[in-house]
Amino acid sequence: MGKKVVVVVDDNLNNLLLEKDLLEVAGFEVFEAENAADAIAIIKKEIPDIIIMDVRLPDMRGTEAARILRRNQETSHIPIVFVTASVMAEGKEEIEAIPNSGFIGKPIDTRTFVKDISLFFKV
Amino acid sequence: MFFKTSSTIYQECTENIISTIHEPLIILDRNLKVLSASRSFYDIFKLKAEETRGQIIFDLGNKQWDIPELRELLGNVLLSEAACDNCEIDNDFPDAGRRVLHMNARKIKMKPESDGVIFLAMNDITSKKISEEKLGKLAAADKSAGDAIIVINPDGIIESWNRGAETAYGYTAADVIGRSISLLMFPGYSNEYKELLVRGSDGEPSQMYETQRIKKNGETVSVLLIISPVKNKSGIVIGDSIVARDIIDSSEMEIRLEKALEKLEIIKIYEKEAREFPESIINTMSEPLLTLDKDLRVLSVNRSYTGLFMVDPDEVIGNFIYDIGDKQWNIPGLRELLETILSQNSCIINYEVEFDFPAIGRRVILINAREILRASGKEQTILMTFENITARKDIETGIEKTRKELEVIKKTADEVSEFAESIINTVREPLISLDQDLRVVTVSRSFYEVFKVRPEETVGQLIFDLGNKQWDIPQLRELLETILPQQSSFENYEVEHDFTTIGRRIMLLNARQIQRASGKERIILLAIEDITNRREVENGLEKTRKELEIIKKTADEVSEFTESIINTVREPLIALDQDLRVVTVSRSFYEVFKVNPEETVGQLIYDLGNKQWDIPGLRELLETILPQQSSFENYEVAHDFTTIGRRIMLLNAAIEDITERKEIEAGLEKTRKELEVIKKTADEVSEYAESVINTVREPLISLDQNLRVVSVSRSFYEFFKVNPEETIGQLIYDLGNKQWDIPQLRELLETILPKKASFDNYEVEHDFTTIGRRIMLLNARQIQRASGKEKIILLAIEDITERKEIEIGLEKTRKELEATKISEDESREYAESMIDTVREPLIVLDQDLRVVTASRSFYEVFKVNPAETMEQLIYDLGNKQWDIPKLRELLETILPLKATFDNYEVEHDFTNIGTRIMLLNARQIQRVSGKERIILLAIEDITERREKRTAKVKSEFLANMSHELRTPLNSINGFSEVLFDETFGPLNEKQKKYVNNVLTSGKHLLLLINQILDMAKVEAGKMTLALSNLPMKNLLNEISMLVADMVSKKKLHMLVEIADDLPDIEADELKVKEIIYNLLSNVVKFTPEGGKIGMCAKKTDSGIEITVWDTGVGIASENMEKIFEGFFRVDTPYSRVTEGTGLGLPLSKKLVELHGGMLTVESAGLNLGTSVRFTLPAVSMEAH
Repeated sequence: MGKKVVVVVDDNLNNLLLEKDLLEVAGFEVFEAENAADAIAIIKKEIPDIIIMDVRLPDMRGTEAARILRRNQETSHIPIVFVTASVMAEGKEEIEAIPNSGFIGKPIDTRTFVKDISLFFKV
Repeated sequence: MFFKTSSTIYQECTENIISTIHEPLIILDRNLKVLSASRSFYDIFKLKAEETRGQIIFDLGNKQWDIPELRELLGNVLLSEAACDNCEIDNDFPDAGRRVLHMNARKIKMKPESDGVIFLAMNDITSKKISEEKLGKLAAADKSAGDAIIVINPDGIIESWNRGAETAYGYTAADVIGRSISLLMFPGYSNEYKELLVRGSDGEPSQMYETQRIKKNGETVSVLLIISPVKNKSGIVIGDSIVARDIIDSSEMEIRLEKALEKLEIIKIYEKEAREFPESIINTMSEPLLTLDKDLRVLSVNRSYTGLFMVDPDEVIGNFIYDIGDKQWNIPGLRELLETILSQNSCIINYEVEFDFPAIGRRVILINAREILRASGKEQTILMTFENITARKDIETGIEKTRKELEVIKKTADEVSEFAESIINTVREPLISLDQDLRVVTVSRSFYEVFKVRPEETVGQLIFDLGNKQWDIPQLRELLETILPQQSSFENYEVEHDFTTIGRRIMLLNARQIQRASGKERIILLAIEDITNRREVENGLEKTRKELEIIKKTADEVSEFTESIINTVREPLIALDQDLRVVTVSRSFYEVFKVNPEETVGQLIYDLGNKQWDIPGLRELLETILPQQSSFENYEVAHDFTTIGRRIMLLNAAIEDITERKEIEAGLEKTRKELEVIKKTADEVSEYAESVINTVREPLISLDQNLRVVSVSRSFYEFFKVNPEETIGQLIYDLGNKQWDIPQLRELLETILPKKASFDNYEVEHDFTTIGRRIMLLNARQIQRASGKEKIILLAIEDITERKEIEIGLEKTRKELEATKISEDESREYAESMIDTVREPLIVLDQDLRVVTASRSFYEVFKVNPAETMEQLIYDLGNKQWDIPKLRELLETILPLKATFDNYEVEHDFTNIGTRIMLLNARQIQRVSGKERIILLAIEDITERREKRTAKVKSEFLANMSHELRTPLNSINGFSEVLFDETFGPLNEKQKKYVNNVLTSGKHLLLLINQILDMAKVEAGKMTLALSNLPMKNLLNEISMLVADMVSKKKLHMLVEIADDLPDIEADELKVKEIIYNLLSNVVKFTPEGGKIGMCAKKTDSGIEITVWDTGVGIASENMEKIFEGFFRVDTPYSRVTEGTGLGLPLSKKLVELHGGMLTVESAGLNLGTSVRFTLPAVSMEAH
């Protein structure tokens, strides 16, 4: 197998860049998307090994995009890690409701980020 | 079909009949085991065929059929071979509920040697029975009227005889009472009764006995007797009652049916026993049953059919069904059923037909029909059963109708009571209603006004206790306690009493005792007419009249005196005024000069007697001499009078001696003045009277002695729609186009009044063309007029039409309500409970903004009680805490312009219930009575709703803030970290240091955000604890390791003392760690290099206590309070302020408290070190 493929979805370009850098340094092939619609299109095309997704996206909520992906047979198995600045307890349930998903709060720890992400491959 | 044996066909036929029959039917063998049962049996009793067949009937449905009456019935049938009809069983089945069943049982032998089977048909009359019971409650219908009921004594002598007996036997009660019962019996039968009577006297209960009797006309009548003993109170038999039912019709019908069946030749072909089988089913049924052939001709009918529809089997069988009973069966519904529906479906269940039969009247019938294979196997026949549900329907309709009527009545009652109430409040007469204990129930507004009492000290009080017992009036006691219990009404009971508050009053009391609709209670309506003023006016008028009489007498005396002087002088005398006009003339003057008074007085003297007094000498005297001299004597004048010839007169002008005259004049003047004063007083009095008259709402009219109208009150014109010009001066009978020509009024005015000077409450009912039928109470007074001779009649007309109508209406409503057994209380309660059910506080104000009523919820929400609320100005409620500027604005500025106002938001800090946000909805209502308006104010307390919303907005805001701050921090911290870690290449020393500064600041900012959010969460009560068992010793050591780095950097000495017996506790691990870390990092921060810090943990009674201390900057006593406020930092020369957030300590305190512990800070003073001590319970409960 070649490089692990990851799709990163975040509407904040700085954060997108940061995550992309960290993942590329760690040897991932990274595809970027700034909104859910683009993300879904790229994911369907690339069928990545993991998806890293913000929750508040301009066109829909990340969890909503995740549900769409879960319904699609080709993408239903891909682990999704939500990286979000919404760390209050209120939004947690909607993430927990998505099977095979994880959660990392912002700001991220750049030193542990890739390690945390890698945990989800084993699932 | 040809191969079927006849018994199979019969089997099928039977099954068909059984399933068509609406009645539950069960067939038992001689061991009382179920052979088969009809569909309806299974349906009604919720049983399944497989668990029924082969079972003993008593064991069915978990033994619920083990009914004593059924055991007895079946036992009788088994033993006696007899049939049993209409044995009523009323049983409460666990599955099917209460059922009333008419059981018909027949034992039928299939073959002579066989054991036979028992047919048990059940007519489920539950609904009928229940309906009957209901009907029985609604109207006591004498059901047994059709039966003859006879009571005899033990000697067989008839003691009572009802209408039914009269019909059955032809004898009237008078014919037979006192005679022996043997009168009705055949001569040979006389012993029969004795036997029965013996049994009866043994106290055996009622028994049925079929026999024959002789009617009065000698005819024989078949009767079914039910004889039961009549016992006295002590249980001794004192006679027998005999109910005789004429059964001639039914037994005859049986015979006819039998004949009719024999006519059916097809049936005859088969064995008799086989035929008997279905036929006996038919006859076992109490349901009317009919079979038709395919041409719709009647093949057979059963007994109950002929009974129900009163037809003769002979005229039915073989006839076209529509032709039965003179074509009365030609029912459209039946045609449709038979010709349209039945041709498509082979079975019809419960088809309802309503039809008005010429012979038996309207019937509602449920028809079940089924096409069956007739026994012969060749032809299709139709089996129809009829269930007569007319009575049930009627009862249902009756109940519905009654319900509707009740609704209408309820409405009317509501309207009437509303109307009555508005009248009570409109009437100016004080009105009070009392309950049977003479306690005040309601009071009219005017009562309060007149007697200066207040509702809270009136309602519910004993009338005699009102106003500090000043109502304890002997005459009132007499009226209420002695007179009223005997008479239900009392009018114009005059009571004079000296009230402490309002002085002496004369009152007319009108009392009515009203039986309350609800039944038991009675209330007393007491109208109090204050006639003090009227009396005073009457007395005043009388006094004035007397005074006037005296004055008049004096005046008369004076003028008489003068006149008599004049008339006594024999010389002609004439008095002139200064214009020389004649004032008075003596009698002798007229005599001498032959003139008469009317052509003299007031005339110029010269003009007298056709100018013949125009005498030059006289002119000279009067015009020339007299003005100079005041008197003149013996002035000689000769004149030739046309009437009396030439006369020589000596004129003496006698002006001089006026002393006496002056006196008289002065007397007259005085009298005149006095009269004027009197007149003025009289005017005043009469003006007063008039204003009273005009103020009184009662129409008032005064008549002269010729019954012509003298004056009329304003209200009279208003009320009777007449105007003054067509009224004054008219004969009363002619008023308004002679519509006042009322015989009773004539009687009062022409017959009664001339005899009696006053007459009260003469009730007159009359139909006026303009204003319709009126009932009036006339009060008349005949008054001697002040002027003297004339009489005047004062007639007060009280229109009591409405009162009467209300009384009648109330009475009617009461009766109707009583008849339907619904109490008025219910309807009133309904409205009241509706108001009290509304959760919104509701308050009603009058136009002066005083509270009229308030709902229960108002009192509850605003914690006030009725006594301190009613009649109060709204602003004064609850110690003036309702004086809210925005409420004033609404009530005083907005409402007068707009009649309604919705959702007016008012926020106010109430002293007793705190700050409330209210939505006010106001409605201004014009009262029926006219001028007044009331304000309905609904108050919705939205405080909680608003608070919830505010909390929600706040927490949403925090969530957003958190998100928005973290997003840029992610970049700041992330990129700084990446740079610092030199992931993309090395940095020089300065670059690395600066990037580290950015990173440190970013992390500080993140800590700040987290702590602020935590504080907000704790304050909002949203922080929850995730409890787990904490190994405290390990945990404390772990945390002290975390700060070890910082400690060594500052060269501090740290002393950690953890007690050996320190227990584990149950708490939120992250939060406990946060607390301890916060405190430790604080002591590190605020202690100078080389100082001492420490942590000490020990066991307490309820958990653990941890102290974190230092020898650092300490806290000045004046700052002790501020350290918990947040963002407060002690100025310190040793530590850079940027290191802390200022939220660590306050947040720690909050988190400790959330666990149910306590946190305290102690410091001896500035630079004397600090110690923070906190406790945590062994097991934390979430404390808010």
